[in-house]
Formats: sequence, C-alpha cells, structure tokens
Amino acid sequence: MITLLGIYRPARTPLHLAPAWLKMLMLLGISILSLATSDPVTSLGLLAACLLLLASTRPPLKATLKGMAFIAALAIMAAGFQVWLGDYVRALDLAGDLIAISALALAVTSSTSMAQMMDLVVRLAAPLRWILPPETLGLLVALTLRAIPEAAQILTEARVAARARGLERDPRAILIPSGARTVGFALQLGQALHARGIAEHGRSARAADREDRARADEAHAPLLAEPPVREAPTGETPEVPEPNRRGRRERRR
Amino acid sequence: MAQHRALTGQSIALVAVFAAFIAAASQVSITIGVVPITLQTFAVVLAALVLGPWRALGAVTLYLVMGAVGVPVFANHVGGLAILTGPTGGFLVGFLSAAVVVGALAQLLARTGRLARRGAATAWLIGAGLVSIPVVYAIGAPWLAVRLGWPLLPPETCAGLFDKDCVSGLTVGVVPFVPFDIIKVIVAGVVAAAIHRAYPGLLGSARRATGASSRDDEDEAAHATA
Repeated sequence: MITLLGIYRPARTPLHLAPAWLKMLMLLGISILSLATSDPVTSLGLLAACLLLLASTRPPLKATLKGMAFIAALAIMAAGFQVWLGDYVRALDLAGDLIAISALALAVTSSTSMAQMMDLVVRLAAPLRWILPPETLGLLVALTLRAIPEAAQILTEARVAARARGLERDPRAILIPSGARTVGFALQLGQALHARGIAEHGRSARAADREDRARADEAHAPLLAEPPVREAPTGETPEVPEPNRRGRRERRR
Repeated sequence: MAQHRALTGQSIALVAVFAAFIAAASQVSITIGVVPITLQTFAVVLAALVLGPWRALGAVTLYLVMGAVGVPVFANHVGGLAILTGPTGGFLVGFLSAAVVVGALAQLLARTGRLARRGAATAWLIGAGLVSIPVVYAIGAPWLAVRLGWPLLPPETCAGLFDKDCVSGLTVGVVPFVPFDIIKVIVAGVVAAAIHRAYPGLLGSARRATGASSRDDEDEAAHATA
C-alpha cells in the first residue's frame, strides 16, 4: 500500500526548530567533509555525531530502521569487501561515511516538514522563474501529490483485471492498460485545467494582442474556479467574477 | 522560451501525472517469469518515450524533488534525502539525463513519421529506450563504485566469478541488472507504442500526420484526446 506520510513528525527538538536551508547546508557540508577525509577517527566521530543528531529528532522507529537497514546492508557489503582485501582502516572509513551521511539525511528529513522543504525548493527555483513560474511549480507539486494515489489505483486495478483473466504473468496485460489510462487521466486533467484557465502563463507571455483578446473573452465568461493567476506586470487582480455572476443571476430573473 | 510557451495545462497535467506514475511504479513490483522487479526504470523510460525530452525531464525532476522533500516515493517506501545522497543515488540522477536523451530520440522518431507504422513503431521505440541503459549507468556506476570503495572496472587479473580482484562497479553494480533493464525497456517500448496508437499527437506527430496547418497547442490537445 502506498502512503504519502514520510518520516517527518512534528516536534520541538533543536533540529526541528532550525531553518531548512541551514540543515541542507549542514548535510552538504558534512557529506563533502566525510567523503573528502579518509581518516577513520574523523569518520567514526562524524558517524557518532550524525547518529546522535538522528536520535535527537526522535524519528518514528519502524520507518527509520527500515530506511537504515538498506544503507547498513550496503555498508556491510562495502566494509566486508575492504576487510577481505585486508584494509581495515578503509573499511571503517567507508562504512562510517555511508551510515553517517544517510543518518544525517534521515535526520534532516524527519525534522523538516514537507511545507518547509517546498519553500526551500521554491526559493532555490527562483532564478528559473522565466521558465517555471513559482505558481506553476506549486501547481505541479499539488497535482503530483493528488495523482500518486490515482496512479497507484490505476496500476492496482489493471493488475486485478489481468489476474481475473489469468494473465497476471503477462506484463503487457497489466502495463498497457495502466499506461494508457494514466495518459488518459493526464489529458482529462489537462483539459480541466485549461477549462478553468489555470496555468495559462505561457500563453499570456506569448503575444500581447492575444492577451488582450483573452482578457476580453474572460470578461464574458463567469469564472467557476480561481481566476487565472497571471504574471500580472501591472499587479492588477482580475475582479471579474463577483459583479458578473450577480449580473447574470439578475438577468435570469 | 520554447519551454515557457509549452507550459499549457495539458503539459502540466502530463508532467505531474507522470511524476506520480513514476512514484507509484517505484513501489509496485510485478512478476515477470519468476523474478519480481520494480517498475521504476520502466516508468522513467515510458515517460521519456511518451512525453518527449522536456516534459520527461520535468516529470523525472519533479519525482526526485518530491522524494527530496520527504514524500516516500522511492523504492522501499523510504523517502527523503537518504536515498539521493546514498550510494545508489547516482542511478536516480542518471534518470534525468536518460529522460532527455530518450525523449529527444522519441521526438525525433515522431517528427520523422516513424511512429505512424504499427509494427515498426514498437521496434523504433524499443531501440530509443535501450539508449537509456548506458546513459543511466554512466552516472550510476561510477557513483556507486566511489561510494562503496570499489574500482570501477575489473582489473586485468580478474579470473573467475569469486575472485576478489573481480569485485568492481562494473561486475557487481551493472552486469547483474542489465538483463532486467533490457526486459523493462522492451516492455516500456511495447507500452509506449500502444499509447501512441491510442493517443496520437502526444509528441506532435499527429499534426504532421494529418497535415493540419494549425500551430496552436490547443489543437494538439484536441488531436491528442480525439
């Protein structure tokens, strides 16, 4: 089953209170430091510090252990290979690095809410605003979050249908319907967005005269959803819907 | 600028839904023969073959951003930065370049009209998808080898399967997985061909095929949903 709940839990530990950019900077700095140094004492020190930081955020136990089990298996593989070669120092260093970085990454994830992380992403993406306006980024993230259960359901239904036909071993019977339905769902969603005038930034930037025509069109149509958020160089907010809708209602009477 | 103009509702919906599809597929495994495999690679290649380079890059980037932000979308139900910073993170980064390369090839196929014929389209799409394998491993394997302290290439003295000289990024991190990747790419090519049959015009090929003179995105949308 697919859950959208990560390992973040609200709490008031020091790492929870630290700003997201500081935590990301710390993760980056310590990752580079631990990869650059090959001294086992430093490595083990960093490992202990990172594990303590992870424990200090009081993450959910089961999910954290699951997350660490994978990296621990890899670390044991890597260290085992070095021990096999007879290089115990390198084994300690490598395994320490691997576990330290992932423990720190888990600590950051478990102490930073999705909203804080998204704020950071939006701020980092600010230089790209000519290609990707921040509103579009937010819309993309929101749509993706909503579409994950939908995509999972499409996959599950295709599987059930394939099993009902006795074709559960045939990947085509599962994946062609789910792929086609996914695209179909996306196209319907796109039409719904288009119909509501959401995410039409590209068109507004395309040509000024067309924009004027679009605005004229808009004045006629009663808006059912949020008014389109344009880049709005003038900063004016379209306040079309209220008087328009009232006018139409009166006309109907 | 070209990308900005392409930010229509349809493109945004396709990018978001395919990012979600990759996320869902990463957590589902299906059984081919006897081996259960996850569908992550399949979904990435499918996105590239269906969406073309820029939208596929957007979908994969969005998937990685969702993971980095903390939504448990990576395989294993573990979200967050631990996977991206871990030794296998290189494969996820490699998906980005693979999406662009395979997407560009798919778009080229569509523009040259090679997706119009039914039998040939599948073969061409599988061919384009196969390019993803070296591209992903070109980033993933060195990353894995460096993080795990393995040499990238097996030395000359490598003799047998259990010789300790033979442990390397190539022999442990690449070779065992390539057969499964080839299977996934073939399946992705078959599925992508079916999708292009069902929704012609996703890559702008319908415009060419029907000879329509309109250059507007809405018309492309109309073709795609027709």
